[in-house]
Order: sequence, then C-alpha cells, then structure tokens
Amino acid sequence: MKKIKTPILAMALDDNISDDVFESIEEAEVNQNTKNLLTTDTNYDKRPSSTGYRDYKLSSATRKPSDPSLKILHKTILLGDSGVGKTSLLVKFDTGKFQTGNFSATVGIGFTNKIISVDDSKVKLQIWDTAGQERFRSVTHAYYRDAHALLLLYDVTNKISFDNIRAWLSEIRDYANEQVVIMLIGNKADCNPSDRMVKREDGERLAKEYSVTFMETSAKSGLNVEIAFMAVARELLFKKTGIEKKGSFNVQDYVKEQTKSNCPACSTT
Amino acid sequence: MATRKKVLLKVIILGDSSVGKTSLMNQYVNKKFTNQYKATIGADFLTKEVMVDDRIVTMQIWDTAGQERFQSLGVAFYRGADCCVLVFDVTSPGSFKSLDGWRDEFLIQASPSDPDHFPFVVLGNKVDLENRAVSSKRAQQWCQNKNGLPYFETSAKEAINVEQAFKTIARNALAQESDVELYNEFPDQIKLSGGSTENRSSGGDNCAC
Amino acid sequence: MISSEEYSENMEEAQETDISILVSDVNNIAIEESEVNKSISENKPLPSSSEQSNSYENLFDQLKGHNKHIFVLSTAGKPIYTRFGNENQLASLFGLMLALMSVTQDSNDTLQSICCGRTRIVFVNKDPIILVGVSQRSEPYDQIKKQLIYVYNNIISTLTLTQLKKIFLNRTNFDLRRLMSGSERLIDKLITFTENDPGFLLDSISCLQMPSNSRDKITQTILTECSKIKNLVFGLLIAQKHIISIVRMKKYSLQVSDIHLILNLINSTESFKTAESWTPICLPTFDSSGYMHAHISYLAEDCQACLVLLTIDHDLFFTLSEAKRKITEKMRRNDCLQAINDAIIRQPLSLARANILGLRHLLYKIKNRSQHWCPPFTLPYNTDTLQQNLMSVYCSLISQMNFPGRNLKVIYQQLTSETIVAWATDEVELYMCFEPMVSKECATNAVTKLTQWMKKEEDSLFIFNIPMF
Repeated sequence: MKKIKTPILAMALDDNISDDVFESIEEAEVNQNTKNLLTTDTNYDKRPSSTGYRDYKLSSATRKPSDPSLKILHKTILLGDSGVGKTSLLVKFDTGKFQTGNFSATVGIGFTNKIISVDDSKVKLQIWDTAGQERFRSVTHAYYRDAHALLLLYDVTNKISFDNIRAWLSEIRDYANEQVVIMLIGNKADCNPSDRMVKREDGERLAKEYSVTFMETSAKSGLNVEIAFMAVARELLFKKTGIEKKGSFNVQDYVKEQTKSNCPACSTT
Repeated sequence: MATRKKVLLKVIILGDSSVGKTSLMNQYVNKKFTNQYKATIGADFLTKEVMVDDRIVTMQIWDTAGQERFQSLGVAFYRGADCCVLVFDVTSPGSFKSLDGWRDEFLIQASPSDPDHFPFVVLGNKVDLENRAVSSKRAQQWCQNKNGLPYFETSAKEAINVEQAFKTIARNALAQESDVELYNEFPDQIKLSGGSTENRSSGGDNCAC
Repeated sequence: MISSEEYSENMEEAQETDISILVSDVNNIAIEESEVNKSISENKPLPSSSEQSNSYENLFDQLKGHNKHIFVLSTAGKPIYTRFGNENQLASLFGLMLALMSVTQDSNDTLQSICCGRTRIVFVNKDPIILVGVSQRSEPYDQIKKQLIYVYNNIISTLTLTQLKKIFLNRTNFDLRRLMSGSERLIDKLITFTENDPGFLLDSISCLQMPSNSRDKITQTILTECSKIKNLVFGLLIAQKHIISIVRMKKYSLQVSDIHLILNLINSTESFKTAESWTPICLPTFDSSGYMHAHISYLAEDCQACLVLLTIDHDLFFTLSEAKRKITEKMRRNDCLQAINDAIIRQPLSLARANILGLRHLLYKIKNRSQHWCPPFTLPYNTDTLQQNLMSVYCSLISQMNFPGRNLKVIYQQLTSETIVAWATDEVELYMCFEPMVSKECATNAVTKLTQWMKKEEDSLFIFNIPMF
C-alpha cells in the first residue's frame, strides 16, 4: 500500500492522502455502521450511498454481522431473452419505479445488492441482471455455477421468448448447480388481452413439467414483483436454516398463497 | 436459443439462359420484374417475404444473367447461399443436361460445409408447352441420384407450382440454418507483453496522454 | 418470358457499360425511387402484392428523407445493419452493393467511391464485412470513410476481430445480426456522434473543465487504488461527453478512437445507471483480437460521474467493485465528489471572456495530447441547424488543413456568412470562426491575443497529468 510508484502531488500530501490514515478511518466507521445495521434499519438507510446504487452497502468482508443469514450472500440471477423486462423487474423491485420509454438493453451483466427482511431475519440477495443477447452468454455462464436462485423470465406478449424457455432450462441444467432455486416468470402480465401470446396456463404447465415455481408479474403495474423476490428470499433462507428450525416451507404453496391474497384477478386457477 | 425475429435467406437461381428463371421470379412475386441490373452487373435481386410454419422469412433471391456474364460475379455470387435453385426447361434436353454442371459449379464455388446435404431444389419449367422433351421420370431419377433433391414441375406462364416450389425452397433453406451456439468461449485473453504494446498502439499519434 | 436473343443483347450491352451507368443505377436505388418499385405501383396493382408494394414505397420514402445512409453487409451480401429502414426489406439493395464491389474486384480493381451530383457513395471492404456510406452532405471522401471505419470498429468492439473472422470462416452464410442484436442502437448513436462532435473531426477528446488541483486529487485517488490491482490496464472517469481523469498501466496507452467508443457505450446505455455493470469490450486500436473487461459504474447517487475500469482479466469483477467502493469513499472524504458536481453544473467557460472582437466560435486542439476545447455555442449559432452548418464548415476546414502532404500552417477564407481561419503551430491547432469581413490583420491579432488568454485557461480545460502505475 505504501509502494506508491509515482510521486504524490504536493497538494495531495497537504490533504493527508495516505492510505493508512484512510484505512483506519474506514475501519472505525465500518464498525460504527455495522452496529447501526444490526440494530436499526433506518440508520443504515440514511447513510449516504457510496455509489450510484441505492443498496450498495459496505462490503460484507469488513463487517461482522451476527445474523447468520446475512453472513451468506445469496446469488440470484435474472435470465431470459432480451427484451422480456429483466432490468425493469429489478428496477421496480429496487426503487419502486417503472422505467418508461425505450429503456436500452442491458450491456453485459449488472450487479445489485438487496437486503430483504423475511419475518425477523434478513436475507442478502446479490442480484445479477444479465443481458439476454446471445453474445453475452459467455459472460453470464461464468456466474451460473454458484448461483443460489434463478429468476427465468419470458414476456407473455412474445411467443418466441416463451418457446425459448426450454432451451434456457436446458442451459441451466448444463451450467448451474443442481440445488439452485428456479422461478419461472411470465412478465408484462398487465398487457392488453389482445397482445397476450402466452396463456397463463401454458406457463403453469411448463413450470409443472420442470417442477419449478411459476408466477406472472408486471414490472409496470408492480404485480407480484415484491412477491417474486420475497419467495426467492424465503426459499433460500429456508434452505439455509430450515433444517435447524425443523420448519417446513414450500415455495410453490407460498407463491400460490401470496398471489391469491394480493391479486385475486390473477389467481383464477 | 436463437432469438432471431428476422430471418433472411440467400437463394440463388441457376440454369441455362433460356430456361425462364426471370419469368419464374416474375410469377412468384406477382409483379413485373425489370432486369435492371442484370445487363450491367450480371445479377438481379428480389426480396420476398414468406411464412414458413409460424416464422416470417425474407428471401433475398439472386437471379443471374446467363452463364457467360454472371461468372464475372464469381465467388461473391455463390458465397453464403442458403439454398440453390436449379432450373431447366422441360422442352430443352440441353438445359437438363447442364444441371450437373451447374450443381458442380455451385459446390466448387460456394464450397458449403456439408455438400451432400446442401439444400438444392430442382425446377422443370415450361410444362405448359406441348413440345416436352424431358420426362418427369427422367428428371425425378436425376434428383433421386443426388440424395433425393426436391423436384417441381412449374409453369411460370400458368402459375403452376411456383408458390409451392418457393415455399419448399424457403423451408429447406431454413432447416439448414443451424442453431449452433457460438458463444461457448471468449477468445483468448489479451496478453500484456510489455514493450511490444508501444507497437500495438502505434496506430496513430492520437494517444490521449 | 424473355427469349435467349434478348439475353444476348443485354449481355453485349453489358460489356460496353461504363461506370456512369452504374452510377445512375445506384442512385436510383439508394436515393430515388427505384424502377422496380415504380413498376409495382404502376403496372401491377395486384391485391396480394399491393400491401407489400406499399411498404416498399414507404421504405424508399423513408430512405429518401435522409441525407446520410450507412449500410453494413457480409461478403455474402446479407444485410447486417442499415441506419434507416428495415434490412430485410432492403435485401435487394444489399445484394446490389455486393455485386457492385465484386464486379470491380473481378477486374482486379477496388471500388472506393461513386459520385453522382451531390451524392457520394463510399465503399470500405473489411472482409468478411463491407461498409457502405451514402452521403448528400458534401462531405469529403476521407470523412465518410473514417465514419465507416468507426462503425466497423464498433462492430469489432462488440465481437472482436478474432470472433468475427472465425464465424465467417466456418459459415459464410451467417446472419451477423444474430450476434449484433441490441448493439444497433450503439451504431446509431455513434454515427450521430461522428456527425456532430468536434472530437471526431479533430481526433481528440474533450475534458471536463475543473481546477487542476481538484483534477489532480481525483486522479491521485484513482491511481492509488488502481496501482494495487494486477492486470488492471486503464481507468477513466467520465462526465457525459467529457473526460475527468485517466490513469493507465505503464507502457500502455489508450487511443482516442477507442475512448470515443467507450464514451459512446456509456452515453448510450441507460442500464449502467441502474446497477454496477461488468461487460466485455474490445478496444480495436488497442488490441482487436480479444476482449478487455470493463467494470462500469456511476460514482454515487449524488455524483453522476462514471468510472470505467478496464482489465484483461475476466474474473476481476469483485476486486474492481471493491476498488470502486474505496475510490468513491476517498473521493467523498476529500471533497472530490463535490468538486466533480461543481464542475458539472458550472457554466462552461465562455469565449466571450477572451474578449476578442469579431470572434464567434473556435476549436482549440492541443496536438500532442489529442485534447480539444470547444466553447459553448453562442449567437449567431443558436439553432441545431446553424450549429450543424458550422460543424460542416469546420469539417471542410480541418480536412483542407490536414490534407496529406500539404503541411499547411494557415488558412484564411472569407465565406458569405463568416470568415474562417485555421492556424497550426507545433503545439496547437486553431479553427476559428469570425464575423464576415474580418481582415487578415485583425485575425492575426486575434490569434495572438487568444493564445495568450488560452495559456491562462489551459490548466482547467485540459488534462496534463495522465499518470502511469
């Protein structure tokens, strides 16, 4: 750290720019923050974001949380053809806002940290938003392997995106961990009925065939967005702690229950 | 899992110069087709959309100006063709005999990766004329010997079979379009080789530093 | 049915055909309504084809409405990109473009451009792809060619040259749109950039104006973190179209054309604002054979400067993410974020401050740094059209000044609406726009006065410290 190859500028020295000083300040603040984080959420949130991204928290490596669920990052990946609304879904979940207009395609892979409260525990989701385009597959494959959960999206107004789900699932089989939690999502469910190309039942049938959880969402209206991520968080938490607690949790039942209570119109089955 | 919405197929039409290739195209696209470039650059082009199963496919059809002239287009004409249509005139045994030559020419010039299964379609044109000289059986036999190429008897004049023939052309070409996934690996990592990079970035004096 | 006699006539005609016929043919297709399409509507209004013919006409109408077209095709003649209209519907036009090139190739020649009235068509063959530019904007050949090379570089930046060659080696019929999908918009924006941005004309970058001590502090903060990371090659801090800071690994330098691609990527991609991103990007001038990997993130919610960290290691995301976090923390602590925000919202330095009579606008380039300053447009250049006209004036002035082999030092021209002066020394290039009727003497005095004034302002307008690690 002290091996600075280029001479430090005079004014920099005046300002005491030395790594050692900084590291110690950081350490102190981090500890302070850790306390805040673990006692009250509000204090934590009031702290100015160090990045452009609301949920960017200090790196977990420098914290010593006592909550076991926070110790572990739950890697969650959003997958699906380009244009199905992966980024919109995430942004809606993250900020509550819907990106209108022709929101440009994701380039490469985007990274967001999100802490979700599940009952009295907190689950930290590290969410990877991937570009759907073919040329980025080599980037995304690298992140499949240690993913804990996959949200696989199609667009209910785009038949091709639904037809491609089988191919996505077989790719997931090739690259992802066997234990991975998979949720199939038909997005843009708020669409005009005449624009809908994939029936809800088709999605359900496919999900059943592959034994994965299914729901329809709308990043625009917010339908089931929260529930989708919440279900993932619950499932992951259960997988981590369920055995100790001897509880039982079935993500499919949970989703059924939640979507029923929150949106009667969509749970006609 | 290709997410292509816009499929385009390059289809080239070969055959002796009087077999009626241009008329076939006229018939097919339902409009008067002017040979405006054939005379100057040896080929004419036509764009036609067809539905194959539930996909919209655009055919980019290359029509040639007969054998002497089109050869000047050379390999560019054949390169990357998705389907090759061989046309002969059922009243002209000579044009039928030429098919072997056209087929070989194509395979040499285009050098497709799997020549045995390259989608050719054979059209025996002018079946409306009475002085027929090449029998269906003979033509079918020839097609059979070439790995069972699809054969259609057409009449550009009477609009017999033209639509069906082109539909088959599109379908066969589409089937050939491989869905091979290309994204397996990154190319090799860039090597930072120290000194040599001054050369590498010597492309101009536009270094921003 | 066309008889064989007609064919042979056609063929004879063909042999005598000279290039002028080609020119008019191409013009018909690209710019005016083609014969083919006229015949659709006039001769055969068949119900089954009328819909299609309508769309064809609309298509050509769309093309006619624009004075600059860029097309990209494979050497099989398959469309890859068109700036306007739909590639599939233009498939015949793409075929024709390939045929034109291959006819000249056949006689061991290379088709470079076709001129027809105000229309200039430029061809660039970068086997396995071909780029064609059609311009009615009176742009010089070199300018259009350079734009095509930029478009080509953008494709390389998406795929790498290695991958592009490999794809077409094995399958000449490949539809490259399959791999380009989503990046068409980058090409669209890049073309607009090449039409409007002085940086493209001058081969230079523009820097965010800020006090040099603030800039040094920022640079030092980035440098300190970057120097610790193995395989990190470049770091850039960007505010919209301007560069705030650059650091680089010893012995490696970043070329202007590569920086332009990075700027275009950042400024055309909204999703970078929603999450920290990680993407492969090939920098064609640096190394066209492989990918760099870019960690791209905006510094903070309250500071919209974008940090780009470029490495050759595809596995470095978390390291770079951590580095970014530290950089932001430090910058916040020593008020760098504030300094950046101040610089972004500050009124840019106005040329009026130089107080030079008759001088309306200028471009000032420091040659050995490849950096320029373009002051904000003021009256009389207050509309987009007037600004674009001014850019065209600069474009032709710059291309005259840099004409190979001429080595000009000064150009003085009185045009109807302005007097323009180009002035080159060993260090700087100056392109100035005066009011009409400004005398040579007056212009010379202005240059002297301006040079003195610029010496005082230079420190904040340009980056003089690009440290290595």
